[in-house]
Amino acid sequence: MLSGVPKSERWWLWAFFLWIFFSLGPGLLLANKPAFIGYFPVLYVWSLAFWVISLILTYFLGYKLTFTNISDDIEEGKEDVRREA
Amino acid sequence: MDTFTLLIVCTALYLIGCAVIGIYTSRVKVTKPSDFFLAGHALGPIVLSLAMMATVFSAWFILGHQGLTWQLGFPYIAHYAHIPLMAMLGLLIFGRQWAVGKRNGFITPSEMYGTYYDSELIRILVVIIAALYAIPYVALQLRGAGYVFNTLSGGKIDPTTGAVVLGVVVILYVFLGGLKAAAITDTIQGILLYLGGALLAITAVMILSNMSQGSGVVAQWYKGIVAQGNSYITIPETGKIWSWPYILTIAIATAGIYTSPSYTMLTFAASSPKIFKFQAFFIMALAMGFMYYIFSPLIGVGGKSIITKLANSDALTLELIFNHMSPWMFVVTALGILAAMNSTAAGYLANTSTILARDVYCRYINPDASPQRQVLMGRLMVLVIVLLAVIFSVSVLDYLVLLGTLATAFGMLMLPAILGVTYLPRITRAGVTAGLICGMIAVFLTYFYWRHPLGIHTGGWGLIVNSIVCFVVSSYTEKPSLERIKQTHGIWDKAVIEKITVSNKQKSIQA
Repeated sequence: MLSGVPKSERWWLWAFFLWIFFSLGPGLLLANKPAFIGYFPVLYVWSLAFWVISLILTYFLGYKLTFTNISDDIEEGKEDVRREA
Repeated sequence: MDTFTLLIVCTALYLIGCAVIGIYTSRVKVTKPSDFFLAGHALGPIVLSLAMMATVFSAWFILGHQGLTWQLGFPYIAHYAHIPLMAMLGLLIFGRQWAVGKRNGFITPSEMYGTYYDSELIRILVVIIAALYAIPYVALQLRGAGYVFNTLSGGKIDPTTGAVVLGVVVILYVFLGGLKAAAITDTIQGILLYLGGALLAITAVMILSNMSQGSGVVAQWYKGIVAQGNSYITIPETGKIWSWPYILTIAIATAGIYTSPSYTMLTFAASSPKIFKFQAFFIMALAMGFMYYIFSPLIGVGGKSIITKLANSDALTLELIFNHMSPWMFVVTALGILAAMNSTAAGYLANTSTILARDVYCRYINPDASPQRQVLMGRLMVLVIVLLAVIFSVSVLDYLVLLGTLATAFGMLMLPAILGVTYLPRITRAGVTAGLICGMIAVFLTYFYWRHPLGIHTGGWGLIVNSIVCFVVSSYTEKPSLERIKQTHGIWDKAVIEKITVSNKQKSIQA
């Protein structure tokens, strides 16, 4: 159970895992070719493309989705080292 | 004014500036411990964002990182995805940690984990991880400063003097101003660090442009790549270092720095959780992404066209600084290197000294210590950590770099514990404890005895073992109390208490 993540926003987590798969995981093998696109190695173009995708994912996570939005208005607790559970 | 004199004058002004900030920030009225330890929960977007960035990037970013790009090429560049990964990880956990810290009055991460999981052992393990992280890092920065002063001055300043000068200034401003002094100086140092990297890229572009004889910078950059052969532009077969399992796991281990105790404390010091959006998107993903994906390939890969042979890859940056920069560019880049060391040492000193003061002194020796007494103890702990770092750097010199690298591998070990507090209330005290202990053992074994088995980085093994053990043990052991979950997950998920109560009832009926 993921606390505080609405079902309508869970697509982001799937997109995040897909991003990891393609930018750092076995998906990298798709771009593992000794070839160039213009002056740029395919692997570099792939890395740049997934950096741009990461910017979109980060923007959505920070500014569009609700589950990372935490209210400023939180009651302050006591700073006591002796607290017990 | 010759370059050496300019360097000395600017370095002196920079260090005096740091000391002045320390004196200025020391004049804070302490009515509760967080006034000093967490800068009064008042760090704003610019200061906190740049402080987090400057603490992450040590001098290795300007020296070692550019050199490794030069040496390893595009397989190494593929792991740059750890930068946006850090941005997303930060967004996922920082805001919720901030909320938990504020609601419960936590100052240190050990207090958060110890209280949430109701476990002294977890509290102690977090203190150990924080210390294992900070002491070798501080030692490395001090020794590195000596080396950099010595090299940049052309041997005129001996390494010990350089290390002592930087050490004294860092101690002074962290001792006086605590986290606030470290954060404000880190803001300036973050800018210097970025400028240093940008100037290196500009220098590389200027050299490539001169070499290209009109064909263009990119064409010249391309010629340097073609000359290296296929291994420079493709990742090796699975199982080898820099194959995809290694790239994946080293990137995750590096991003794990954000889960380490020092960053949890920095999040507690934020004035608002909205800051983390700015930090993640604009500073990490965009600005540092640009530095990594655009500037570093220009410096490192472009360096292959400029310099074909080096005694060691670290020398690339020094070669560019010494032989191709104007005096002012030289001085700003040199200050960027010193700022990187200074900010990393200061960040870890400020946070770890607080952890030792609150979680060792206040918890076990003097629980009734007044806020003023706690601050005094925090300041003394700054001296203790530097002393330990000096002893470390003298007694285990041969193992220092090893310990620094090992510290990175420990970073991600906190991930299951953090997920328990922020997203997964089903993670239990027994799960976290068993996971942390097994993860630490896995890190040791895969570093000292069986290095990177199956091409998976040590940090990756630590995380895999830790996560499996944590989730398996958690599924068979007692969950955190409802009261604890209410004080944490209840902040952002009002329905969580009801869900857990229903689930507990169903289990008791089945039993």
